Amino acid sequence: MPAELVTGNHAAGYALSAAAEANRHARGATCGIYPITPQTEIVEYVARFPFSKTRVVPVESEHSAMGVSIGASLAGARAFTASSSNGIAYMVENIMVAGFYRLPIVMVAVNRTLGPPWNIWADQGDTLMLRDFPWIQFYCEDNQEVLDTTLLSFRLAEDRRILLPALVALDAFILSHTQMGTELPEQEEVDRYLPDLDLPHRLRHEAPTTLGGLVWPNVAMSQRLEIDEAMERVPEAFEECRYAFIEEMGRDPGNAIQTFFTDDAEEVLVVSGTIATTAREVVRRRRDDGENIGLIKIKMFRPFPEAAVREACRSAKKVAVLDRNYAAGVGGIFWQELRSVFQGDGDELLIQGYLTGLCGGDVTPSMIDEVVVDLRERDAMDKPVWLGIGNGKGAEG
Amino acid sequence: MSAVGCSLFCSIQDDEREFGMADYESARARWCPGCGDHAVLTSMQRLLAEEQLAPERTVFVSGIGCSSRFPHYMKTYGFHGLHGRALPVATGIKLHRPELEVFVVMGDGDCVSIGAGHWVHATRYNMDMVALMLDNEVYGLTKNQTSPTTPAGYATNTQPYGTYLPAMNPVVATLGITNASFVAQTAEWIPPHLYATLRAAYEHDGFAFVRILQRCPKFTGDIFQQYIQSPDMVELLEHEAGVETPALHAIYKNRRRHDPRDIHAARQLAETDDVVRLGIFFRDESFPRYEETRSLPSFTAEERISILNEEFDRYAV
Ligand SMILES: Cc1ncc(C[n+]2csc(CCOP(=O)(O)OP(=O)(O)O)c2C)c(N)n1
Ligand code: SF4
Ligand SMILES: [Mg+2]
Repeated sequence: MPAELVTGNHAAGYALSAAAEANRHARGATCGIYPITPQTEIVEYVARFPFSKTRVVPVESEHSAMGVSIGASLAGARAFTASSSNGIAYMVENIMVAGFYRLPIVMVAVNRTLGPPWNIWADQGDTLMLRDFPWIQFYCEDNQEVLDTTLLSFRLAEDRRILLPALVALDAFILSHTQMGTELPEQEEVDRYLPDLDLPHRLRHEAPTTLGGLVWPNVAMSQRLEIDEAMERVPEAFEECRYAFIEEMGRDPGNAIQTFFTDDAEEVLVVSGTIATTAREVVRRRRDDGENIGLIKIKMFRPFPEAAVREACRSAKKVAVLDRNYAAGVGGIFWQELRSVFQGDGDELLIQGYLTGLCGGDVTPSMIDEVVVDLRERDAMDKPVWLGIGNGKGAEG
Repeated sequence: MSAVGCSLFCSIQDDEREFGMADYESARARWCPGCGDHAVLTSMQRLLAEEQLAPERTVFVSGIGCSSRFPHYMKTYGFHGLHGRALPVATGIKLHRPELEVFVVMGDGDCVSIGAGHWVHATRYNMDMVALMLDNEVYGLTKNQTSPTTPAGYATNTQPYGTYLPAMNPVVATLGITNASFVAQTAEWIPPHLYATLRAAYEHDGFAFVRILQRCPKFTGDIFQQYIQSPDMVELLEHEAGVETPALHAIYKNRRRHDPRDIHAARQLAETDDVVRLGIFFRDESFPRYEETRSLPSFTAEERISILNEEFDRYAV
């Protein structure tokens, strides 16, 4: 399969469209679309696609975009949408509904800083604010991973053991607007990978029921428990979807966590998204210089791959977590997750948080070198370290 | 807008400053060359200068869009908010600082798409403010997507095979909202009409909704061309209780006397779309304004005590 030069938005639009088209012999697909920078090209790609049995509905807001997808999913269609930043913030109420109804909707999210003040560059705060919702979450490093993970997400979300919506995130501009060589699968391959959809809870005429009534606390709680159990089944189902993908496409869509020289590493960097590419180069160079350093890229954020992370840090003494996101008063969100993973099982591990590239700042090799130097010098964890503010006055300041 | 008496700003009002248009100019406007938003900005700066509105007595609230950059270019108070959400913010400001002149600037997407709920309810609240909808019939900032006012059949990036639905008529819709007290339409390419309409909206006691037809040479450059090239396709609604623009009579022969107190005629005129009608469709200052309906009653100390005593009496055993 020859690679083509496409942007992250193109890759996402291609994957969503091919997945929708693949359900043409069943109930087709439907999506609500609404523009917001920098994901607009995704929904515009979908709007142009010559579908056989998919309805694209250009709605009046993100709230409605997810609403239309919820209705379509309830009615048995494959359903999806794409959004970003404040669009996701406005969509939140329905994002939550999709999760609690266990609707296997796939959303591609271009990570962009939440406003105000307005800023259109990469920051994971928009999707990480959904971290407590029943959604599977993936963070991607390049355009191929965006395409492959989007296709995989449909299969995983629609798996009867799972039935949870899934989100695929990519960094604003660094991926959304950057062209990379990307293999675009043929429609027949996607057809084989994503079989016809038959949702168990679609509106069936033989058993009309009303969803969404008032229930007692214990009933609502048991629904939460079911979600928890489905979340627990995700890692195994993900592996199956991943191997099926490798078999069909001849390519690995990427493991839940991806390690680099962690086997004997005493210092480990933990990253996600596009920071991984830069960090890997820094680690490679330092390895060449004989340093005992490694890297973990976290692709699956929900459910958090705790066991895999613990395993990958077996030989580590110090861990640096680089976050392109910020939880107010706390620090980086991946950092928080890491600390809870080792609570009571690795308490002696030094896990330091670094806020890098927030609000779209560049994370350069020299910044990552700064992280390594800082980590090496410290003998205890402290408050997160903020990198990249400079004089805080922007380019002209 | 009525001047609300307030000791807070009287001292400022009495000052000796004189404001020219340049005193309201802030950052250099970064709209495209030929964008109709420039004309609205100039007209607004002229209005403020003629009214000698002190910058600290004036606030511009906007949503998100090309048009919503407006507050950045005005040297007054400004609030550049969320897409579609300007009106509730303006409501809060006006309730707490009634002496401020509040102007709301929205795009068509802002006002009648994602923010449509607020437009309906702000009209019903009828608070004393000016709401401008800069209607280029497209989402400009996100680069060419169908909005509710995009003409049917018009190809955009979200409806590349032509816009599916008939365009919404925001004037008809606003006239249908309970408590609508001022509904006007103007075009930014006719500066005297734009100015007269802005002035009338400013002078209105209540919520003044103005749809401004606005050229976007970037994405909908052809949409208003016919009206610009053939003034006969435009009809001016004139009346002493509305706006009158004698300076335009030589060019705009197509004029109609319309009494803006007549809601039925207003609705009929707004419905028919054989020509584009500019002017004040409806205006009625007798409608209750939210800030009056919700004004806090003022009691004397004795009255307060007697109310309290009455309340205590209810629990007496
Ligand atoms: C919640 C949310 N969704 C989407 C956007 C992206 N967005 C910014 S401006 C805009 C449309 C602007 O159109 P309009 O209101 O007509 O203003 P114009 O740019 O044409 O002046 C959209 C969809 C946003 N900022 N926030
Ligand atoms: S895109 Fe259109 S509305 Fe926006 S600044 Fe340019 S001309 Fe004006
Ligand atoms: Mg517009």
